[in-house]
Amino acid sequence: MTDAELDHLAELARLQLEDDERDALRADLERVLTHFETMQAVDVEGLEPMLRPVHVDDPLRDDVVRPGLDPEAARALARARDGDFLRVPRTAADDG
Amino acid sequence: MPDAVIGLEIHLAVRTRSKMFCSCDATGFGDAPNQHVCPVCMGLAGALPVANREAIDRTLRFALALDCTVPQRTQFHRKHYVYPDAPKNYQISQYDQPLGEHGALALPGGRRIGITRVHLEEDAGRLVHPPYADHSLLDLNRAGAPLMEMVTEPDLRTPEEARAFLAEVRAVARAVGASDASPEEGKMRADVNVSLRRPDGSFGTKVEVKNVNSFRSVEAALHHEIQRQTRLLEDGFEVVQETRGWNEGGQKTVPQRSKEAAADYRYMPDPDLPAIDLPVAHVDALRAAMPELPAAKRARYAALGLEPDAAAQFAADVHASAVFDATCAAFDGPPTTVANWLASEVAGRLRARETTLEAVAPDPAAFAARLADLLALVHDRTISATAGKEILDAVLDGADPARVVDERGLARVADEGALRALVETVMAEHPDVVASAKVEPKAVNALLGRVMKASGGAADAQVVRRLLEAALADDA
Amino acid sequence: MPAADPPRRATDVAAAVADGRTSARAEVDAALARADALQATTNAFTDLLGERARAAADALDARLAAGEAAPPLAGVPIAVKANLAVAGVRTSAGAAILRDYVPPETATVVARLEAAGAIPIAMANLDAFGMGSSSEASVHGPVRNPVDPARVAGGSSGGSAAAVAGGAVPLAVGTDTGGSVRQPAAFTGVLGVKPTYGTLSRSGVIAYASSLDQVGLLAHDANDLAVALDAMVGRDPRDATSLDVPAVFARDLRTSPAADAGAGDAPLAGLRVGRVVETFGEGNAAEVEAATAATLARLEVLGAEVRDVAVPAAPAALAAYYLIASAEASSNLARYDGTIAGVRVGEDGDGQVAVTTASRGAGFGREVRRRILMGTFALSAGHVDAWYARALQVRRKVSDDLTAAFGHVDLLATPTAPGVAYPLGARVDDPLAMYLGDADTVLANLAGLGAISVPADVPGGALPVGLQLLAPPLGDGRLLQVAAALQRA
Repeated sequence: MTDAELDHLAELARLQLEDDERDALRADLERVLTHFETMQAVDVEGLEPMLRPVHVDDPLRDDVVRPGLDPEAARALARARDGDFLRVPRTAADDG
Repeated sequence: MPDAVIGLEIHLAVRTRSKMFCSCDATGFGDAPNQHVCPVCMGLAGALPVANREAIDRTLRFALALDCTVPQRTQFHRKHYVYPDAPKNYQISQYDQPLGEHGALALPGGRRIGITRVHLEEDAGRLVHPPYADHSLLDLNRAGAPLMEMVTEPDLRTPEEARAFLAEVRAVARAVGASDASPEEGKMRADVNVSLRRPDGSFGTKVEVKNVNSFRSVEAALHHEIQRQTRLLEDGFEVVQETRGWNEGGQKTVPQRSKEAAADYRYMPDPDLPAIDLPVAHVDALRAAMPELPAAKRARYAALGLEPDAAAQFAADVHASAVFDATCAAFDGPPTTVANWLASEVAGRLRARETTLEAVAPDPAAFAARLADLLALVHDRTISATAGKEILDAVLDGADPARVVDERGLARVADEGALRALVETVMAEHPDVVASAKVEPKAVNALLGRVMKASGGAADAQVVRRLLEAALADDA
Repeated sequence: MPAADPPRRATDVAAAVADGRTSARAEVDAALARADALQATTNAFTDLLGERARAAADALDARLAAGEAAPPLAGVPIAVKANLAVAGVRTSAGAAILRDYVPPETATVVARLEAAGAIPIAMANLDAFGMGSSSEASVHGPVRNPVDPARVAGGSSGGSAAAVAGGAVPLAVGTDTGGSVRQPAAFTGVLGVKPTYGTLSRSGVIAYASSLDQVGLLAHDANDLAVALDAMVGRDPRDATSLDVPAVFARDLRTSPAADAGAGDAPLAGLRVGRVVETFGEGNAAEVEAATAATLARLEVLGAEVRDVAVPAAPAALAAYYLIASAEASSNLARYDGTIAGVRVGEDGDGQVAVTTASRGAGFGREVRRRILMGTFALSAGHVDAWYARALQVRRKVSDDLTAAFGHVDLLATPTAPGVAYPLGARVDDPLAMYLGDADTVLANLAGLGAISVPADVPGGALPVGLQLLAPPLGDGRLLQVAAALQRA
């Protein structure tokens, strides 16, 4: 894994990597991924991916409104608020 | 105008009471910010989504109305992107097993536009950007509301077609009850893709235009963008593949700073949401219960003799067409009479009141019965058309037409005895006019007018004319 | 009313409270005192819930005094792993980014235990977000093993295991994604069960890997596990992956042959146990091989038939597990960005990307970051087919192999872990060595099967070893029956 690849992953994951941990992280990931090549030895020809361990017959919900959180309690959970709104940092991208 | 290649990506708010993956109220967009939230739609730690059955069924109805193939099993995927309006920093959407694929919808003119897919997802929250501030404001009332997304093949050719197509989509969505589809309420949003066809017939570079908030703007944006691309090519430049925004004030498309160059959404089937079986019997039942779609309605109304514009107008409005159909069923006269009354007299009064038929008369059958009675009274000459228009307001408000006619004494007098007496009186009072009428037949109209006036407009003019002519002949 | 010398069984506490021999308040006070003492040597807890627990105890005592029937776990003090939300209580999941998070609602399974009379007296320490096998990766500091405080308690439910093994509470709730209830149970010498996936609602459980996570329980006594499971099972409308499992664990245990087996009886007659050959042998520490062999021999004495079976895909299971778990974790943790209910670093003016990145950087420890990056990698364009999709296929193969093995036997047996509790710090810089310790436990999570770790037979004074038993889907009752039989013998 190159530095560029690691940086790309960090960007996708919105993770700030410190310089001193970068090398260690990359080495860790490489070692783990090398070991995981044991997976490649398994013959998976024709096997359906197994996403979920159990099948649920009717996983749906009826269209009924139920009370959610108390709005003030919900707003209080935000790190920052502005009246009834939650306050978030300005987005650098297009503002719509 | 060079040949344009246009595709649309349309989002429609699904008509449900609760949100897509939680039980919060989905209809409270206009309420105070963050009024309808819970751990699920806020994306709090530990909260799990559970899919809304009704949202799935309504989307299926929409997909079926668009002639889509429906799979036997459908599932939700997580689409990862980081943005403040997505509380989980992923959106639960669909990827390779959408609710509908490979459909088509005909433009009113008949040409079929391909529908690539229809799928279901959750809506994002609403961001407000105060000018000159270093922050934005987030309202999660809309976060998690169910949203249908439909994508067309690039089969549209002109901005006018695009606009007509959007109107048809709106009509279909309303007809099957899947969405209110009102752009003005934000319940229908469209992004457009447009390129120009190259001389060799291939498609040119595609530009996406977002933030087009009305059908009119879609048409304008497309016109502008086609012109812009044409000019670029004429001047020897290339069209750059990009996303642009529609600037309503300047009536032009403008470049947008791209959020993420070719975002890697890392689609992953959502492990919290089991795959959903769509048994054939269930889908067939939905198909069988499909209401009449706008295209079929237009054809039926045209066959009834309605003008294309009137037919289209009624076909696009679920409530109005229900009133129209019920009235025609209860009224013996021609459907065109019903159409004319609804489109001019009734519509005029509603405009004056600044309201809608649905608001004033929510029960189509009840109103249709009254309207049919009123039209029958006019049709069988019990009252004059003028009288009919006079009592229309009362009928709109729920009054029984026959009773109002009685109360106001508007019934046409057709009793020959009474009319004959009136005729004789008037003839006696105007011997000079009688004399003219004997010489010049058209002068009988003057006598007719005087009899009508003497009766306060209530006399049946046809009967009066007959009596006058007979009296004049007798007298001769 | 004074509490007796701490009874080890939850059902004994409940019976004493029900009889009026003791009060809920007395039990809770005693448990809090024990927890406080244990905290000093083990750091098992992130928070002690004194005020809340006492209030709940007083309320229960009042209801009992008013003549209400005593619920099955009346007054039983329990510890709750700090990745299960408890309303009004700081639930940090062991992570800096949630260090001051107070959930508005309680996790379903905890609410059900409370409805059955149990009283949470502490939040148990853990590896942050459940990611870890030693409970060292916690913003609150590492957990020490009560058996030997120089060693790890296992993870990620190390605090829950320590709470039970250290005698503070008879019952603790944990979560198990790749072995996080069973392995700490093995390292500390208690019972740890992870039921079939879907048995226990995940609503309110701070997610690590959604298709692998399951709530689990730790206790000394198999019947305690059964009574607790009965209180917690049942479909939850808030968890679409939850099943409608009937609350018959205690009843089935009571009516099983193991229940009143006497000395010399063969309560497990007819039971076929499959010893998974791929999990035994030179990859294990000598004491693990010895202890598990001895316990399997004891099963035979009790009437069971033990034979070798193969699960050929077992060696590849670990890799598949880590890739799937990391992929799901990278997705589940994407939401922690400093906007809602998490620590925020930075000012609005820095812009959204900067604040998100800084908050997550500060809020996530090394192990969490490793797994997020690994998961992002596994899902990223260009890699998703080779890694994530393939891992899901290997998962299918492992599950198929286990199903085939169950064609010949009723339960499968493996060691719970290849080794015993190791010294603190021994593996923090060697993530691969840490991961390899999960090789035996991940099988059950991949296939969604129920599994239990029972204390294996070790010489006096030796470090604990666990024997793991796996059951076919929804066969968890049998796991408890075997555990009970071993306990009684």
